[in-house]
Parts: sequence; C-alpha cells; structure tokens
Amino acid sequence: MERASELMKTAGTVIAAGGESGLGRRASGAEIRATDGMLTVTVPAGAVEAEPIVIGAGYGRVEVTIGEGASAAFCFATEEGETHRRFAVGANGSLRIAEVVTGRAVRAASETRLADGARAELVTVELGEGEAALAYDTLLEGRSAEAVQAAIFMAGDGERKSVKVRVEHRVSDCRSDVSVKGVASGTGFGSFDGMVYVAQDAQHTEAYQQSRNLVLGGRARILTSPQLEIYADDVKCSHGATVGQMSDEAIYYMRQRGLSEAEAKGLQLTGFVNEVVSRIADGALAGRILEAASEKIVRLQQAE
Amino acid sequence: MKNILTVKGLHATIDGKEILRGIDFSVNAGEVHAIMGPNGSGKSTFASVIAGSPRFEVTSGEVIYNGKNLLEMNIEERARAGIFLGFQYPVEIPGVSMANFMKLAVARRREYLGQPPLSSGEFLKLMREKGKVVELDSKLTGRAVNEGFSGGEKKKNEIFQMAMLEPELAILDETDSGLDIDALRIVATGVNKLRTPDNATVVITHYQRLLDYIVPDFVHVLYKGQIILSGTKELALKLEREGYDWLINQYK
Repeated sequence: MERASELMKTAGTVIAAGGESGLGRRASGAEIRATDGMLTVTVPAGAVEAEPIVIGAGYGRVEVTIGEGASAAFCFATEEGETHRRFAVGANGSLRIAEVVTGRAVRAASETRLADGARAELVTVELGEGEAALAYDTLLEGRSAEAVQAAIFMAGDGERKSVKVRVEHRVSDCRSDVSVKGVASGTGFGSFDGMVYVAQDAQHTEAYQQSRNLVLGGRARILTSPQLEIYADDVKCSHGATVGQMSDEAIYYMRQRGLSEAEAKGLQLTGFVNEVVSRIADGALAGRILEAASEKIVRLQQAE
Repeated sequence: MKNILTVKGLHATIDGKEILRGIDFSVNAGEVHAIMGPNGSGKSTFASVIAGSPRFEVTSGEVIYNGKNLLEMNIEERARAGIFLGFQYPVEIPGVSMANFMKLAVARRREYLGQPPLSSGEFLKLMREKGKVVELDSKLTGRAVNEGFSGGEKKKNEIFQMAMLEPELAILDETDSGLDIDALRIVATGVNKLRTPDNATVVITHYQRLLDYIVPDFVHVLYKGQIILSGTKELALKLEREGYDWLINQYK
C-alpha cells in the first residue's frame, strides 16, 4: 500500500519527510519552521490559509498555533514511529485536519486547545498494517468553542489498533462531537476508549460521542468503552456504542440487484469507511484515500 | 405466448413453520398479475422465495424460470437473469451511493445479457433517463442508498432501479404501502412505462387502489399459503367491495 505521505502528495505545498520544501514564510503570513525534527507552524491573527498545508511523516514533534480569527487546514501523514502534535487555536480561529495513518508500528498523540469561539475539525483514516496506538486530547478552554472529530480504524488479521479520545469541556457553551468507527477481521483486535469530561462550570455543554464497529468473522475482536464524566447539571450529552456484523438485509438487497456476495459485502464495508473519508473537504484527497482504503478492505474481506 | 415463470406445488418454511403450502402459478410474457390476500397469507414470503431469500427454506415443489430450474440458482444469478424484487421495506445502506451501487448492478446484468459494458458517460445518461421514469430527484441518486429517503422516495427508488435493470420478471411487494396518492400515481405510471410484450409484472398488494393504475390481466387470492381463487381484474373490485370473508368461508 502507498504510504500516507505519498497519498497526500499534491501539486500544492508539500513538506515531504525530512525535506525542506515549503518551509519559510507563506503568502498568507503563516510561518513554517523546522528544527531538529520539530516542526512549528504559526498562523498569525486574521490570516487565512486557502490551501491545506500538507505535512509528511518524519517530524516527530509538531506544534501549530492558529492566531485569533485565523484559519488553516492541514493534511498529516502519520507513519512509523512516534509522533506528538500540539495545536492551539486562538479566539474564533479555525483548524481543519485530515490525517492518514499508515505503517507497521505507529504511535501518535495529539493535543488540541481551543479558545473562545474556536473550532477544530479532525478526520483520521487509519490504514496501517500492524500496530497503531492513536491518542487525541481536546481541551475546550474558551466559551462557545467547538470540536468535531471522526475516525476510522481497520484491524486486519494479526493487527492491533487502538484509538483513545478525551474531550474536556472546561467552560460553558461548548460543543463536541466525536465519532470513531472500527472494523476488525481475521485475528484483528481493535479498541476505542472515549472520555468526555464536563467540568462543573461547563454549563450548556453539548457533547456527543459515538463508537460504531463492525466485526468480520468469529475471531476478530473490538472493545469499546465510551464514557461520560459530567459535573455540570445543564448539559446535553449522549454516547453510544455498537459492535456488530454486516447487515444481512443489506447484503440480500444488493445481491437481489445482481451483486455477488463478496461485492455486496465489499460495497457495504466501503460505505462504512466512506462515511468517515467523505468528511474530508478536499474531494481529490478523499478519493485517493478511499482508493487506498479499498485495498485494505479487500484484505479485511479475505481474512474474514 | 412465451412462458416466463411456472411454479408447481411450492412449499416453503421459515424456522420450521410452513408458510407456503402448495402454490401453483404461471406467468407469460406481456402479462400483469396481481396477488392479493389478507395479512399473513404468505404474499411477501412468495415474493421472497422467488427472489431466493435465505430466510426461507423450500421444502417441495418446483419453479421454472425461462426453462431453467430457478431453485438451483443463487440470489444474484436470479437477479442477473432478470428477476427483480421491489422491496416492501427497501434497505438503507449508509455510505454507499446509489450511483456506485447501480453501476455494479447494471454491469452484472449487462454481462449476463452479453451486452458490452457502459462507459461512465453512458451510465450517467442512463441514470438521468431512468430517473425521469419515476420523477426521481437527481440529487437522490447522488446520496447513499435509501438513506434519509422518505417512504415515497424509497418506493420511487425501487422502480428507478427496476428501470435501470430492465428485468424480465418484476415482483413488486406492496409497492403501494405507505404511499400518498401522488407518489402512488408516479410509481404506477413508472411501472406501466416499463411494460413491454417481453416482460411481466407481478404486483402484490392489499388494495384495489393500486390496480386502478396498474391494470392486471389476472388477479389471484392467496390465503394460508395457497392460491384459493384466480380471476380477472373484476375479482379485485369484488374483493374491494366485499372483503375476503365470503371467499375464506367458501374455502373452509
């Protein structure tokens, strides 16, 4: 399979693994600096980055600061090894991230802090071929901040994938929406640990957390534990988790239209994955990611 | 006249419980048949068994479709050979676009018929053309299969798929249920537009209402897993006026 950084290579800005292209000050005023494997991106107040900034693998540490009212989008390739990322979004700033994960042993952790009225949107598609442990912390520190996150992991035969998501509502009037999906096949194992923490002062919080999982065959396992810890009393929170098999009804329906059983299952799995992938705003990138995911889906089906 | 489907002494069970108890039924090219009957008489089961639903077990009898033993064919072989089931409850398939779904379905049907594959342009043109048959909003074909569709849109979408696949034998299972009068007219008009001398339609319904629009050549009454009376379209009118009781009392 193509590596995440290959998938993301486009005609636009590309910061390839360890390379220097794209470093420096950009037209929008954003500045990208690299030192000793650490990448720093600073988007000054009010600046708008029209094109996504593509960041390849090879930077173990990334720090992104989005100034007040500024807006930027990123594409991250998360590959082999350990990665730490920190994001800080100033008041009314906007951060959009599309992340693709590939590799045999991947560990990544990121932390996002949102000020008043700031918004962060993260979409993660995990396509690795071994172990992946992904952790995300989001801190809603300013009022009316919003965090939206969607992820899909795929645990093929012999693979282990884990996704941890923690969202902290520290102040009032914030909104968060987390949806993590998983597929496991063969002897694959996947887990989701979700925690939404709502502090006592965080009234009028809206927090949603969903974990939906598909298990193919009798040996694959997915553990999910979506949790809420709520100390405020005027909040709208919900969480849900399902672990199930593919829908026999849907497979029957598609076969009745002439698709083979394998085609029907493949299409259904692709649909399950595409619900996350299609959230990526860049249609061309989403198309390439879905194509790469299809290869993975074929392997998942073979391992069933 | 060319025979499309012949069913002889068909028995079928679900979880060991017998639902179909010896159905005899025959459809020729160019015909429209209506199957009526009270709730639980086995109408939907009959449709599902012809489509090859794995939920039911055929315990005896035979089904010949275009000279072939239908019961030896799996679900998709039947579909590719031209059997179409319009579902009473069309299934939602999140994340799967109508276009991608239909592209595969049409490709398989065309392969079966020995027709060359369609180019992307030809396929899109076909989608637009066939969407008009049931006044299906072109936005719906870009959405996930049946997801978020209203009851009427789901049924229109069934007839749209029928138009795309040009089946030889279409079985429409309570296509009229849950439709308002406008949607009913559109769906029925769509079905009529798709009629040719070479195909046949079996309409399963509770109500005469649908048969005002899709006029059947034959009407059959199914009761307790058997066809207890067959007649012409006048039979449907009599059932509408008088209900099933007189017939069921005779049958007892």
